[in-house]
Amino acid sequence: MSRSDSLPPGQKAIPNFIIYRILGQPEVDLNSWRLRVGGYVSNPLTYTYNDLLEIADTSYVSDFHCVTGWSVRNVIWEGVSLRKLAAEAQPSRNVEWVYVRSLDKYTTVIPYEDFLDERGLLVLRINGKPLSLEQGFPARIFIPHLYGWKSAKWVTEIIFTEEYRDGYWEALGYHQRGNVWREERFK
Amino acid sequence: MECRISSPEALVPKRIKHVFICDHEPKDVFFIEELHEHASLIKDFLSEALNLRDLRIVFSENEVIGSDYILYSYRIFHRESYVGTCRFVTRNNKLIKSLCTVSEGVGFE
Repeated sequence: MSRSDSLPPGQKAIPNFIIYRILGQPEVDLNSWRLRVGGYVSNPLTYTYNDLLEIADTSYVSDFHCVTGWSVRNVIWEGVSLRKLAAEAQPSRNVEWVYVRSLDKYTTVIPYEDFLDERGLLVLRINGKPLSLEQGFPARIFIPHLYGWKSAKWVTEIIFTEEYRDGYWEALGYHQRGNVWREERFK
Repeated sequence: MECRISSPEALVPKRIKHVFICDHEPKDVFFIEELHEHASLIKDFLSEALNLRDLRIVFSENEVIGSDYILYSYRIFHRESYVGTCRFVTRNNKLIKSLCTVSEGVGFE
């Protein structure tokens, strides 16, 4: 059975997303919201929501996996490839981690090589519609082979870095990478 | 039992000041009473580390993570005030990790 047909170990399919907002629902003002891409890069960038809509280049169907054990199958994801954002920012050759900050002050950390996965996405639309506030409008991360806590919602900063630093759930013992197929739930 | 203490910046928004992570030799946990005993040991450890007497640790809930892991959550009280949480991680009914968070303003600063 191929990966696209099977669920990762320990996961069970459910009909719809369970919504988590561990630090509450942030208020989003699209006029002031910006996505900043920086850190160890030679070309730090700032995007408005409209900038991102204009460069959206990727659409695919993939399952979403929460570390608690539920999965939602066949979700349509649309947005800007993370590879494209990285290519524009030009991270230094020593970058190993990507630290993500959100409007609600949530943080997470992603290995650079996973960030560059061909399906890594800054999501703007889900199942044919713009993200809802609950799903992370205006933009969230999605990397299909990583557990959902890496898919930070309401993203405001993508920071390329050489040093590892715990994000919110990593500081609470969850895995540095969180690969769903290797069942990397805890450190 | 080997424990580390840290103060991660990532948990400041949740007003968490200290994180204690203890790794264990895997230990069978088939009855929750066995975890209560472990919780009592952890409470004593925290009491000493935080220089706080009169700590209590009370079982709160457990939840499944995937199909192998279960997190058992305990709440920590100093006298009548809630001051933190401990989560004990089991995999296939073996205790593998203890993780406690303590709010800012509690114990040594």
